[in-house]
Amino acid sequence: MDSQLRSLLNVISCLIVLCSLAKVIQAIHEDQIGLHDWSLQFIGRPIEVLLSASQSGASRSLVYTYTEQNVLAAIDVNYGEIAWRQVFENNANGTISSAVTVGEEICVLLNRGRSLRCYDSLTGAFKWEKWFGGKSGNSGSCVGITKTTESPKDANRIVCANSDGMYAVNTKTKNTLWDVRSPNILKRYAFASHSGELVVVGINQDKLTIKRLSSETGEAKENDIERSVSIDPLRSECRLVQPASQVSPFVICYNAAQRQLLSQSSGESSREPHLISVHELGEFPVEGKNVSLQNLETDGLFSLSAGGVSLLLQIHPNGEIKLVQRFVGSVTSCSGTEVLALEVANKRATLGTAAFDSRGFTTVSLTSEPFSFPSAYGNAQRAVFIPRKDSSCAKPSVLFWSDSDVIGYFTQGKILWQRDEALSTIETAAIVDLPISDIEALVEQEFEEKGSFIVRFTKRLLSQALQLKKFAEVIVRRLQAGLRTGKFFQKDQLERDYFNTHKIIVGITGKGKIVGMDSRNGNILYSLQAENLVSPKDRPVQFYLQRTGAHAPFPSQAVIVGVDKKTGDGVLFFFDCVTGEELGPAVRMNRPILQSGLIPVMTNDHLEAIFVLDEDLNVEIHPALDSAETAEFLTRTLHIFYTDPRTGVTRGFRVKRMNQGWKAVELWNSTLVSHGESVVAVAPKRPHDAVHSQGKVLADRRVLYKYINPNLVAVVVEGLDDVKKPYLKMVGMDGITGRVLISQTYRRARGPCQLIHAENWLMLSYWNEKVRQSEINVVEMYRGFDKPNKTYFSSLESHEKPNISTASFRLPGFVDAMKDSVTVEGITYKDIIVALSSGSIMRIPKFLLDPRRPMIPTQAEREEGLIPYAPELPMVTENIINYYKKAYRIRGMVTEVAGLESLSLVFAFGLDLCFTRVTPSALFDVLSDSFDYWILSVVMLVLTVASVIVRNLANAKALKHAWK
Amino acid sequence: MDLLHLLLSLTVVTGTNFFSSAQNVPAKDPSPSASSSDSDLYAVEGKLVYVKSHDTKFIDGVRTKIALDGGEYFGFLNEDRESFTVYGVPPGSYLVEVYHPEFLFEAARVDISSKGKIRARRDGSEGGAGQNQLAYPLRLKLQRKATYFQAKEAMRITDMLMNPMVLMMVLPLLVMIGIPKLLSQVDPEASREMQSTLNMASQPMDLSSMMSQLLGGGAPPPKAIQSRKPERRERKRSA
Repeated sequence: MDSQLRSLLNVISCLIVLCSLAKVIQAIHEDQIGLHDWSLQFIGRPIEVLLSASQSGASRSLVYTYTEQNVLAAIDVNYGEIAWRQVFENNANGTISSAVTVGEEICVLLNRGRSLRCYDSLTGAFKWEKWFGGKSGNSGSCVGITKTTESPKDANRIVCANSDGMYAVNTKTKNTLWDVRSPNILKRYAFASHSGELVVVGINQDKLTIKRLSSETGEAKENDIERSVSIDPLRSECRLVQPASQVSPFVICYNAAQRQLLSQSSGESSREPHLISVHELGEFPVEGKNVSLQNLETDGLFSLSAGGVSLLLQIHPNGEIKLVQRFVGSVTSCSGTEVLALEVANKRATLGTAAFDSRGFTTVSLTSEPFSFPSAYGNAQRAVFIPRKDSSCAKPSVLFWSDSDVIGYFTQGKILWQRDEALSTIETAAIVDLPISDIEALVEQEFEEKGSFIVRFTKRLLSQALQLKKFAEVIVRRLQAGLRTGKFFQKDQLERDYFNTHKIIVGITGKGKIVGMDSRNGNILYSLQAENLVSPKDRPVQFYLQRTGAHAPFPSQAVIVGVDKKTGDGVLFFFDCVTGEELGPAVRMNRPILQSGLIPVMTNDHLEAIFVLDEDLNVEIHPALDSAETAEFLTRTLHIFYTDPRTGVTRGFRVKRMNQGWKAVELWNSTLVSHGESVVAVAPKRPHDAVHSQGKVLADRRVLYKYINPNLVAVVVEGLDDVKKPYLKMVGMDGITGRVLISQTYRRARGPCQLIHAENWLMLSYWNEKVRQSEINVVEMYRGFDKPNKTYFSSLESHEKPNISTASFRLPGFVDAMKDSVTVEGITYKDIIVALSSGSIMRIPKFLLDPRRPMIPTQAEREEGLIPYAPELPMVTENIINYYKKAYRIRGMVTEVAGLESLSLVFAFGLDLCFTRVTPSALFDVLSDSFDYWILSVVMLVLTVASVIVRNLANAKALKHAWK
Repeated sequence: MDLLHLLLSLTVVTGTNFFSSAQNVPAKDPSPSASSSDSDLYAVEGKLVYVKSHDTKFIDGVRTKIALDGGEYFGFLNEDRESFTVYGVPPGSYLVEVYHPEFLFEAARVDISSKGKIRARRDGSEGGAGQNQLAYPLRLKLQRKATYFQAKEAMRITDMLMNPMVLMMVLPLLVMIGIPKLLSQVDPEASREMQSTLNMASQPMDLSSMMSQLLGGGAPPPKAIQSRKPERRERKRSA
């Protein structure tokens, strides 16, 4: 009875909320799809490329790839577009360890080799899944077998091996044909030899086991071969390679721990394994990661490649491994006797064919003119020959990818397309203003208020004349360009538009790759690589805009702060974020960095300075601010706040001028965490946070003043309590004095946490263990009804603590990222933009997330416009700003102001990219798109005509009346 | 409608048979020496309940995913476009959602006990209550097609005429013209009576004053200032 009543109440409150929502729902119109928004889909860094098993469905030429981001995708090689993709779990459950194509299906083995999922290779539709079960091993491998000795053709089956056993599945009937359970093996590989024989290689610590099985029954054909060899199962790769002559194939393993290659005959049990160290074969990079071992299916040739270097190796029938040739680039096989080598030198790449015959290995021909392979591509990692009708060893089609995650397709002598998959690994992003156009710049000058009115008048005339001249120049230039290209109306220039909605999006990956994108369509404008710069361990690369493009003739300048790949010391990389040019050499520090930030001091050339605090508490300021005046200003005002995520110690510093440079002096420190706790999020305030109104007007005309402390920093700590239940703690402290101002504890709550800090409120999203749902908690800070008699805020002078009001709401989904919208003046309402794990990006109006929402509103509260509290935030599909386009695994979002007060630009980055705009209070400062000029003018015309006619009629009537 | 659902569910029962070989889940751990973190894993089964038609043809294995706890575990829609199985789920409580770009399905919560007993209940409900219990295997009903877009506001004559402002002006006009004509047809006694009441009513209801009231925004006279202080909602004050 009680629950019934409660559910009834729930329904009623939901209804009320929905009714009140009716006025805030404002979605785009259907014909506005893609007008102001775009989204790009990615697949990530490929691990392996597979070709279609059946070449019959040649209407679309698809290649299949599975990636490190747990994505299985089909790429159309003619256009470089994703034909379909399946995004798996973003954890070990979705990690793909092997894939095979059999018939019309592509199957992936994932979840540590425990699950086999099969998809239609043409459409990507799910077909079936097989769960092998067993305990969590490391990985597994699968092999598709299309013919066996028993059934020479059409034996569509997949044999998989994981650490628990071997399984064979018939792909037609989806039945398990046989399974052999034999645990206690750490890693297994399944291979099929040329003769259709099944070879399963098991690796344990210091042991190699080779089984030969019948693919029909799973019975062992011969005795297993067991060898005691020093091998690390987690860091080794194995392949089955068939030497030239008619001997049984060899198992070749690369052991990354000892950098050794091992070969063992799979047929002759009497033979001992051969071991050879890689450096005996040839110069090979030391990098342990991304080593790949490829079987070239040709004359016992195989390749070992890492860091852009490939060793082409050959196994002799006696088990010896010999170096054939060393390439800077990658090798792939293209026919039974020839291999194709992609060689990279001096930012140019060439493809060459080489054949193996009785005289040895000879380069037959260069099959392509050198083509451009820019340094932003990085090293060539793999090349895969794509067999097609128009493709041969002499005229090859090659799919390649590099370690900067660029996938390219080379065919018929040129690169047909390339995909920059590095965009799926963006860690930091910013939306940057474009420079104003030359004419706009002149207009700006026109209204400079200096001198007497005569001076200003002449200046104005002069400026207008200059504008006219400039306009004429632009016209002439456009005409010339038009005559050349045939297009007279093209927006080719990168300059601000009227409402400043056209911007540059700068994305920075964890490997120091910087990509500039056009905000209109997502086209890549530039991409450059900061040499040896990677993100620090505990946070992404930091980006600071030092000078916008508005200060002609100075270029816009930005800096990214990262660490050196090898030493871990701080690196500052300066670049022009409009053109993508590197500005000066990177500054390399000789210590790891703790903190960096912008200093609100501008040099004469309009450059905002940044500081970098290193581990020895030295402070570096770029550009150097050496004048006594600024030095004095900095010692007085610059305070640095730093929370160590490992120890949880929060420290506050101020800076002091030493004879050589600047030094940070610790003012206070406090340990926010106790044993077992860890810091999960730190949120200072946005540097230029626009707050339009200082308070809220209540129904009785009194003003509730907001507590706006620009120095407030929120720190969220996660821990386990006495009964092993998780909890979260949010502490708001003053970054200058270190005083704790607010403190909130969330019982039975755990991460992942997202924290927003703006105006006078904090928002924390977390997972509520008790009710098992995602929640968002809002903390608003007020200072009371007394009017503050100061126009500024000083942490040192104000000793009051804010009054808090807080409320929690249930989110309709799982939060990947969260951000608030921003506008120029902060007059517009705020929207909270939430990226959900379902791929939807949703806006939630801030006034729904108001902790002052009452349970049962009084008359006054209703007058104020407060909606009754309901714990549920309803799923309003109209508020999904990326509508049916899904953007998966969003890591972060940036919001930026536009020229219009009502607009806020949103860029979400993750596996996919999504750019759009939100209008939290509707487009109140421009006419809406649906405004019908045509109807308006018709109505005006009709009215005018009617009034003229009616006047004549009225005149006639009056005349008639007068005659009576 | 109910009959249709019944029919669909019948077809599904037969449809799941082709998956029977994989139904050996819960997959028992073959080796008892497994570490304590590797508890037994179970499979969550269910099906989507909707009417198959031209509109719902995109509910298929390409676009549909079944997610447990926001993508910790995924299941996919089988070729019958209804049934699904999510494999490899350890004991616990999970939210089962259907991810589809265009259609919204009900969500449900499943609780898997450490012995492998699976119970389903309505999302958002507390455990234990009998009436929130759902049948297992899950039956997730199609709720609606997601509407992402706003209908475009077009300028239509009917909209203009049905505008309250227009109605307010047109209706009195009709009354002013229509009533005298009507009155002339009824008997003079009653008409005189009506005339007098009409006169009384129309005296203060002057059109111009009505217009001015409308355009003036109809602001109510200012209220007397309340002396009572409204309660401020301060639930927590930091120490």
